[in-house]
Amino acid sequence: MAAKLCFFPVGNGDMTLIQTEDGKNILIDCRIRDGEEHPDVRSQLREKLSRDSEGRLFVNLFIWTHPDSDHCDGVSDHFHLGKPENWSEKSDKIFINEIWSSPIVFRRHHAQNHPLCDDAIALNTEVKRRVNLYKEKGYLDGVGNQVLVLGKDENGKTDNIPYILLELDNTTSYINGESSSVFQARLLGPSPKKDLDELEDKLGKNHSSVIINFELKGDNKTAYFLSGGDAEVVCWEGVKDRLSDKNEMSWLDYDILQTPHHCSWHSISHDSLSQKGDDAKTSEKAMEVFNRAKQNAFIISSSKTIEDDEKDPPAYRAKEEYEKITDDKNGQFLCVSDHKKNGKNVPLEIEISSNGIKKIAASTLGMAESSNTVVNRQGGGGYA
Amino acid sequence: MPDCLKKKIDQLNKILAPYGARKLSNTELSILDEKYICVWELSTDLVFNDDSIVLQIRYKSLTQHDIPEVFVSSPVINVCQLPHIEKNGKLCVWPNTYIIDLSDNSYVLELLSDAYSMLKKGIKGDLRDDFIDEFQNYWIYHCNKIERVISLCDLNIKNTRLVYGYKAKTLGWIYSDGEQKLINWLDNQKLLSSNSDNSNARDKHLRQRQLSRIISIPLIFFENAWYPEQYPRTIRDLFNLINEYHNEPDIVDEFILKSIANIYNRNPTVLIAFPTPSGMNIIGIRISENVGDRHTDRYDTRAIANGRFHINSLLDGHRDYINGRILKNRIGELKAQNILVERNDNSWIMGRDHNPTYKKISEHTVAIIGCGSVGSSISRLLIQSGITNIMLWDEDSMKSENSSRHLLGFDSANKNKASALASKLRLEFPNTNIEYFNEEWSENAESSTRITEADLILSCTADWNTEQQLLSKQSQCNLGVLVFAFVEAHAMAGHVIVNQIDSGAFNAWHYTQGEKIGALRYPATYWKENTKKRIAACAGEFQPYGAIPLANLHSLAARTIIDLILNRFPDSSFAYSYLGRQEELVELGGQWNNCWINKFGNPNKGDRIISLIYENSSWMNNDA
Repeated sequence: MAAKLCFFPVGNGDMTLIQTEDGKNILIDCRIRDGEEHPDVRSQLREKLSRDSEGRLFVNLFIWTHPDSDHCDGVSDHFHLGKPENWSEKSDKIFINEIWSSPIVFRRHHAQNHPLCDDAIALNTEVKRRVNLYKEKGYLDGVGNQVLVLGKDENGKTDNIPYILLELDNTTSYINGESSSVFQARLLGPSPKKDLDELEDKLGKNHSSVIINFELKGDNKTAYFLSGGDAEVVCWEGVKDRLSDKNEMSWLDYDILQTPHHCSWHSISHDSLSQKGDDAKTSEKAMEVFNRAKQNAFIISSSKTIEDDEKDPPAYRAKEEYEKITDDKNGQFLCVSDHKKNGKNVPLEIEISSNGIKKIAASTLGMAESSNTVVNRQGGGGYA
Repeated sequence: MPDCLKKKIDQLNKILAPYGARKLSNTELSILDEKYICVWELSTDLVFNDDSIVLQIRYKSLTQHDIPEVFVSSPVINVCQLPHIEKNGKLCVWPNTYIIDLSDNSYVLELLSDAYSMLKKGIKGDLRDDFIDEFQNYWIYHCNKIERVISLCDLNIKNTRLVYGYKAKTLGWIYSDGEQKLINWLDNQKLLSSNSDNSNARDKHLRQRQLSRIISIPLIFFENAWYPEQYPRTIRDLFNLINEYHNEPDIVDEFILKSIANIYNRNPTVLIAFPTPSGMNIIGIRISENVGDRHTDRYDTRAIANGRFHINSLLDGHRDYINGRILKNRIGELKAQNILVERNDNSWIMGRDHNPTYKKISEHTVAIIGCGSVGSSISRLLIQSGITNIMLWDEDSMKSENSSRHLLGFDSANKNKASALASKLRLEFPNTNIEYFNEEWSENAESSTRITEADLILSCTADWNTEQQLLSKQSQCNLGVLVFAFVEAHAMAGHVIVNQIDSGAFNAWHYTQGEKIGALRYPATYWKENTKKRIAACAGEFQPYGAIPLANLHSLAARTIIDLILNRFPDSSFAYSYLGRQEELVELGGQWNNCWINKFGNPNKGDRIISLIYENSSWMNNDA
């Protein structure tokens, strides 16, 4: 059976569903907005989920990379937050078996006085509820209460919860308390709190995010999916330095990369595009990370359509840099917003199977939409 | 990369993305057979021989007018495995006649969609008949013998027969139904030694030797064309096809065996003809060796060069008689050398078998009196319209300065116009029978009576005396229609007059006595000054006019002759007049002539054709 990755068309934001070969649904971030101007990602997501024995539409795991609204929009309205027993059939929200979240990212976000949106506050409250319940009970009390803390928190705050803690550079194959043979996640970020205030200050000022390299198996094919939320250039440089020191750069090897921060230039460079223009340079260290692409790798920008303009994100220059990488590896750079069927945005799906790692076409050529107004098949009637 | 290209790549990326397209890397581009600037690859749900079909859309330059090519990049599908697949998996999707709005790049989806549908139908077998409809496209890929072979054979004759062939060093093999027809063609192409009365004994001997090399070979007519899997690889395959699909296999086999047994037939070939829904086809299969050739190593090269080995080896073990079955077996294992045959029969040349009037036109003989700037071009137009039999009269020689409006050019300077024209037309149209007479046609001319062989006579002399003699001859000998073609000064008007026998139409157009004898009664143009220019020679003068207005008369005259052949105006005398542009006329110092205006109306701005009819001994406007 195949494993699948599904990138929902949420514009500049992330909402990515991993469907493992053994049937687990893992959602990374969410961005569900109301309004006809937005693709109906709510329905698109719900169509892909199944119901548990209690009739609840559910995800096995929700991974929250960081608390920006474009990574948690609509979580309160469309996901059940709170005690499992309070799930209501009437509201029929999506039930979350387990949540993974990082206190360091949250803290860094908070430290910079970024205002938190209501959804971020609600989701953070839910994470805390689960952690506190664990602390209270000393065990994870079933689906709906499961939680994993990503990375040690400062001041020993996570020292007493080793069972629900995934430390940096470590891996886990556990989902909902069960080990999976077809899934593994290696936590590569956020970097721990730095002793040097200057460094910590830099980390805080940059978008910080959970960075995970997922190992997914479909049939006997293994694919590595590197996802880093909105992590910006300092975060990637930190990862590079740490793994170089450990001589473990291969932990970054990927078949599929989700461009950090929706193809933002700031994830690959310290230079300002608006000030330096064509002279703006990429960070060598950060690019060392992104150059870990394997042969035929996909780089996917979960963003709006990338135009050759001044906007950032998504930045055209960043796209060009990523395209250099894919070109070098006979790979493919894709933008989720370009993926359409009958003119409407649909999820971009990658399948991992014995056929390899393939993008699933949204439309088939036999049904190609052609305007039939661009070709005169009768000819012009003039001959020479 | 320039911004405009980047922009187009971005656009195409967006258009193709939903279909799972992947842009090939530079490394992948570098290993393609040809240079492409950008290629996208798309997987499909189509399967051929258990493999999924992957398409590529390839751009060479990405400029607006760079229409991409579609390829099957995987699996490898050979030509003829599926219809419309060319070398290296290239798909032949759209004909050149399609016009694309290149400002809208989304046409690429329509192109890919059509490619997809075509492949789908092809895999399903729904396009199998395309192998027959477009037979030549597929046969060409199985042609393993590169040699020019020309057929003059009439493919309207749908039976198996022997045809004649001759190998010319410069052109390759030429085959024709009739020996005389073949010789005429070869003579027209100057491939045989001269046959004229002036030829010397050596030439005559040479010609005799050349003609002795004409051999006969079978042309086998099949009721149906072959599918690619039936294309013969060995001569045995050919015999099997004959056995399976021909009504009279024994007779055909005998034709082939006899042809091979001919010691002079050193390149035994079989022509195959069959109909397809899109027309008749003819192909060739060469038998790679003459039976004798198979034993060449046993004989010394001098003997081989002298041709003696043929007899010896053919009769090897079968000195007096060789059984057909044994001979068939001997050659059965030989490789079939498949050949493209170039059709040069007139039915093909004159309208690709689709010209319903060709046959009738080709049966007529036209005599052209006067091969100057009028007659020469009309003769060529008539040949292009299907006339094959032409007689030319002119005793004048071509001068260099004639070439500005004559069909002939500098290469014919100082040659007799009729002879040079015949020579040129024979080379260009070797199926014609062109006779020329290097003399001015007159009642007393040696060739005078030959004109009675013509169905139509075209006079392009603008010479009153000659034309009066022609009228007289027409009347005396009950000749066919006489057509006169001439222009007025500067070719600002041109007239084609059809004179039925004893009609008096031509003379009614002219003064026939007195000081104006031979002058036009109704000239269309009037010139205050004499338009003729003097040249420094005895009675030397010429009438200047240009090739462009003259071309109107050429087409008008040729059209009139074809109309007459096709009986479009039975038994009437009529005329067409071309009137040039008034602006040009005035610029040259002329104006419309009152004689014309009073008779046929004011041409005003001119640039038109006037149809006139001769009735009740008078010319009148036919449009009135």
